[in-house]
Amino acid sequence: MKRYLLLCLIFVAGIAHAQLNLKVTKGVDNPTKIAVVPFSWAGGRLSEDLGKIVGNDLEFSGQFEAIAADRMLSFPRSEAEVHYRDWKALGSEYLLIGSITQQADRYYASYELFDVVQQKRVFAKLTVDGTEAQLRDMAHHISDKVYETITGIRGIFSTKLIYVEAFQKPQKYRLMLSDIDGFRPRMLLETKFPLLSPVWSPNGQRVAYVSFEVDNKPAIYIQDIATGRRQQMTNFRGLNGAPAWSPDGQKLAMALSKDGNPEIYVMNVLTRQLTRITNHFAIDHEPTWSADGSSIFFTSDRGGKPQIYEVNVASMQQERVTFDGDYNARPRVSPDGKSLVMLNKRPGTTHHIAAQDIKSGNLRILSETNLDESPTIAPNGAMLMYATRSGGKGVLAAVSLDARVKIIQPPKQGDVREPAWSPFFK
Amino acid sequence: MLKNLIAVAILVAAPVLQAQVRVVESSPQGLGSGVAQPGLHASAESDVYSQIRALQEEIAILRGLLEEQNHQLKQLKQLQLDNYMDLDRRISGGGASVPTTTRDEPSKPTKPSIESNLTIPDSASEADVYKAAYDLLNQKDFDGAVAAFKDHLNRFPNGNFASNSHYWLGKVAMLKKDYPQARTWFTELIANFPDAPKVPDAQLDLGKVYFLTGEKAKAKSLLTEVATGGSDAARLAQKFLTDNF
Repeated sequence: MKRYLLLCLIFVAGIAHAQLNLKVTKGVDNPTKIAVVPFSWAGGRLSEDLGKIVGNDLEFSGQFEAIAADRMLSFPRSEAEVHYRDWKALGSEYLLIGSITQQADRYYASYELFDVVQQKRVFAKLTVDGTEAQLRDMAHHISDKVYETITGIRGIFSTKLIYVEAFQKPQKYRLMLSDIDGFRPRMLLETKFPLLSPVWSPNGQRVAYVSFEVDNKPAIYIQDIATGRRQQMTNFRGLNGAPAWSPDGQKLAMALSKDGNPEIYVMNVLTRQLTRITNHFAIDHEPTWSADGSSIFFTSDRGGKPQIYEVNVASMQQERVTFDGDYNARPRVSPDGKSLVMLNKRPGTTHHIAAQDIKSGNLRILSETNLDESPTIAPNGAMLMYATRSGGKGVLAAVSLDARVKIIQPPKQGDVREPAWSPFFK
Repeated sequence: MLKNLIAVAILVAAPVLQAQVRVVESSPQGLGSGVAQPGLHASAESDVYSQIRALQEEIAILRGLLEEQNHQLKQLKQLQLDNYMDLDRRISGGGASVPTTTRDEPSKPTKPSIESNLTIPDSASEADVYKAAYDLLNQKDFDGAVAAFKDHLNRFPNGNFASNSHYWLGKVAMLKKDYPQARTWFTELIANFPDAPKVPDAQLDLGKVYFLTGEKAKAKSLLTEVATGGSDAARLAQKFLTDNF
């Protein structure tokens, strides 16, 4: 019962366009051991090592330990060449073999999974194909398939990450997009003024964020990720903050102070029609939608301290939902709608990421790092990522929803913050 | 530099809240000092303003307290309900079937276990069948209940509620003064379900059946055994012994 999944993933911002470096510092107590045999390939040098990417992906989940290639006794290329004894000797529970072939400019990766303990093939040979630029996508696809087959949970290795990178001297901010393992970073936007609160649209095609680029005042933008085309959604006096997409992608909840002090509003993305949701002299901020879109969770200090409230969008009835700790903010709802992840502070401690079971109200602290912020939940609900500080730098860490996190490595340059985990694509 | 980082970090999270408060608070001061000679009017205005601020803060604190107390009240209510359910489960599981009351109105047997079994699809139907039979018993439709309990036993001879069905069949037989039948049901229960919570009750009633059919020695030894046990039936067995021996 006390089988907490302990894992920690670290992203380190390297120089300018260097990718985030990821390192698992703590996995589950007893991870599943899998041997991913280097994929056979008859051609010359291939730009990506698919087997290695798959192994890294699986380790990224914290639930697997990949056996190093240099310990392997053989490199089977087909079922006939698999000797289970060799893999049992390494303590491996699963074995993945694969091969890559090329036809014109397309690459074909075939792979088979074996259960070493039961000595049988788990699934027959599968093939995925793509161009050379898509080799990493092919590897992530294989990781998803293997992960889902073994754990029964949909894999998140093909999902993406958007985050904000901040630099000093000269001050600049970048909105970055990368694979979930930190590779293939791509810049979506660069400005001299702060960028905040990026959030993915539910279909994974657009991102909403707050930018201070015009007159150093906040405004909400929606940007198409593929084309880079964007539109400014708000330009109200005062605060324009914390956009949050409704699950159907048609509305944006946001915090605006145009009528005096910050209140929650909902904007129809197409018509830009604005509906006021809260009306209170206290500060209402950081809206986020429930999984079914029937209500909005938000932070308010109407009770003297920041706490999370829930407002039913139809009835406008409001109810406080957090009672544990003297500070609860930045709510995020898990994809199954059962957990609320938030920033929590108990008297005498710093901010931590905590998860609350919505039905029972039970709260569990997930992170033990300092100054944790901006939690974002994976679309399969198994993990979450958050920003924290290490060595005076902003870094990202990840933790499974039933886990704890520890060590963080500082980035070399720039602060990484405000991660936003994409939904599943397709 | 660290300061800057922290400042930005603060911007990022919730503390926009604080920034906003500061803006509101600073404006009246700005107004006050901007006037060359802060006249009576301005200071009165700023007095009213600060009073409103103070009241708002006070209301917020009170609201927070109210919300928290409301929450605690809800929790206490739930706790009370949970405790009651727990007590109910323990009493009925141990043998709330106080014979005198059972005769007229059988007490609830192990109700929470019905609920917990409802979550298991296979035994859910068993719980339903048992519950239907038990409802008939509650409605004092004894013949209907006997048929239903027997049906339950036919379908789920080793079900979670099989021992309970035995017990109630024995009780109904006792009511109808069909002592040999009652004896069979109780004996079967004790032999086939030695760990069932209903065993002490069955022993108590079997002892009474022995007594009623003239086997006083057997009755005395069995009732003495029950009386020395730790069950809820022990007290009743002791009382029966005191009254009749």
